[in-house]
Amino acid sequence: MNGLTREIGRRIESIGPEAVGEGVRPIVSGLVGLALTVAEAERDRPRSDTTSLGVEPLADASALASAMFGARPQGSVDSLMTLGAPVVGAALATAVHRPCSGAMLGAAILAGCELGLLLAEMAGDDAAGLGASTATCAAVSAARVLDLRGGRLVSAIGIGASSSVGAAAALDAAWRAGKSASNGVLAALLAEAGFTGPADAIEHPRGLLGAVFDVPPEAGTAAGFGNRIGLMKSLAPPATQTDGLGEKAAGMWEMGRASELVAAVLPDRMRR
Amino acid sequence: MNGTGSVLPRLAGFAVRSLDLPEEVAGAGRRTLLNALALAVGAARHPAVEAACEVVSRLTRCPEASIPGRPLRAEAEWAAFVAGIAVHAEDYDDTHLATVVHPGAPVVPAALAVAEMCGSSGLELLEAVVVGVEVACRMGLGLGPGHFDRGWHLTGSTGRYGAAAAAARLAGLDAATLAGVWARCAAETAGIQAAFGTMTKPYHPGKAAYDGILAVRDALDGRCPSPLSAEQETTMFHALGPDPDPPRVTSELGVQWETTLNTFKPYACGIVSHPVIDAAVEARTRVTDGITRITVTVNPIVLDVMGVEEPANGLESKFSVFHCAAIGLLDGMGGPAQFSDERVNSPDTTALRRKVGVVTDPSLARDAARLAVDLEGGRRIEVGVDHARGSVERPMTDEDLAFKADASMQPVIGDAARCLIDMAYSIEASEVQDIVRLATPGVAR
Repeated sequence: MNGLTREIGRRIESIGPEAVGEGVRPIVSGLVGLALTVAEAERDRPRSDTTSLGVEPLADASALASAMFGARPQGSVDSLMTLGAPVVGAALATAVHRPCSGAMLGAAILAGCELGLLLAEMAGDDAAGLGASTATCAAVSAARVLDLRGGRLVSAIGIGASSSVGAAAALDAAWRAGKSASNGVLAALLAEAGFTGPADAIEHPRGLLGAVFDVPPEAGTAAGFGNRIGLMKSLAPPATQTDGLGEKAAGMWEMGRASELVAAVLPDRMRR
Repeated sequence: MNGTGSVLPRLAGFAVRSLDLPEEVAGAGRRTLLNALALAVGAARHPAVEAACEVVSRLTRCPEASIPGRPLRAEAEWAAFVAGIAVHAEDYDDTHLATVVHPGAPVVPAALAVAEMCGSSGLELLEAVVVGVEVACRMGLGLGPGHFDRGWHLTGSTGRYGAAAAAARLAGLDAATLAGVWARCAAETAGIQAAFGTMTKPYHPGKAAYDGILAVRDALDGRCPSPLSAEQETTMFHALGPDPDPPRVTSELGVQWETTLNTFKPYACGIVSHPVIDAAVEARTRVTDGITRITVTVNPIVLDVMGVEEPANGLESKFSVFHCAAIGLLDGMGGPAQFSDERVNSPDTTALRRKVGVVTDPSLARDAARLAVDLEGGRRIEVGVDHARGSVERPMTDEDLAFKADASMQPVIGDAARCLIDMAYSIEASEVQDIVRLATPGVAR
């Protein structure tokens, strides 16, 4: 399995806005819509200065992902939200603080979700695999928003894999989603700054598969990467159950900057 | 199944209770503190620390605690994050050999940052360090050797329990709340050995310190989960390895002190290669002709974790027993300079490294090695090391440690290094604020 993590990195890089085609657009739109819905709700929630939305990306990612999981609508499936909440929370929080197009935000979310579904399949147990890999997936989505490529993208994966949450004990799932999201953002920011991570974090015998999932590294494969999230279409949070914001998001998230999309919902707090 | 029921509540009770440390334990605590503090200062300009500071300087909002050797203050958790990375950056810190935990890297930064924030005394800092080391190492004992063998880096996975314990003690948490904090530590178990040879290895203790303090801070704000139930605790131990032994966590608690078994590295690389460097340094004095072949015989774990044959850079060379043998023979030492990118790629090192062959022998202890050097003309030099320098059996003396600390800190803080060493060795009579001031010259407070 030599080179699996690098190969996955290459495939993640190849996921651009055009990859968010008709098959997956409803899923990404639903997730973004849910994130914006909870962001709007979070806006008026009393917080300390350091945890207010729009102040600091790690706290933003945590708050958004936890709230998304807590507010998952009927019709969504826990396994998708276990993954979607940290991936979207990390991507959106990073996008608020850095220039990023809405279309690229969608691609970043798609990349993070794809990796999560792939890792869950390798782990052979959706629930455990999804839970413990979500920081890695959040790192990927944040890294794509930051436009990390090559070694830095692979390092973000490696740092994220070293930040697993939920491998040994399952606390409240909403907390786990938030922690995974903030760990993912930190991993991406560190990789952007030149912090190095292992280039074989997934397939190394003492890596994510072996140490965290306790499965043979041979279980690793990049086959089919890029085709999984479409299969999850039926599990997506229905846009109509996100107070209309899903529809709003569906109509605008691909246009303009991600930060403008968020600012439309949170004009005072999240505009930078 | 070995061991069911709760050991963490009892450990938490120990961690927050009043202590009257025996001198042997206090001395070991002072040494752990000095070693980690000196390395944090010395690695202040390490590329990993530079990268971490670049990120932290953008995220920090509240200057609560100092980062040793740097003109930057940040929240206690961020200060500990950077210092934890710095302590472990050169792989030159300390090792609890029974578990391969490097306890100083997560525990001392967490304790120092919270002690500065809380205005703690030197004695309180020392007790927090000892408690943190005990907790980190005992959790490692309870998780069993299979936890390491499966690929976890214990400095990350159990270091967070120790960091949280040290922070909780200084912050005045009670035992029940600390047990709840540890439930979060269990949920955040992280750190994989795949990261060895990259900056993510020192990220593990940095993140452990960060997470430990953050969990304590949340507990102080009323956001703390319930302690793990006995059943959850058992599940946690068994999820992390094939052979946990939870009763070892509290076995002879307060009687047998793991802190006294913490050892300090004389060489800036993975500890299982240390006997190889010892042997090479000794053989070097007897080399009279050109070397044709070097044969190293070691415990199999050495190749498992130090098997990089052709390291591309300094970080990778810290996990190359081949490189360790070569620099021991060439330089007669194994400090940070021997594991720099420049030394790794120098022609003489590369050439000699390629003459090293490794044989494994399970009957050899982890801190033992045999080395044979074949010379042109047919002569053979053989050296055996039963216990590496820096092991429990051949510990670094206080003078050795002071020399190492001075060499680490002098380039960064100059003559203040000597004062810091004196303060660390008399920590009970020192103030944390004074220590921090010396470790971070030129920082406005």
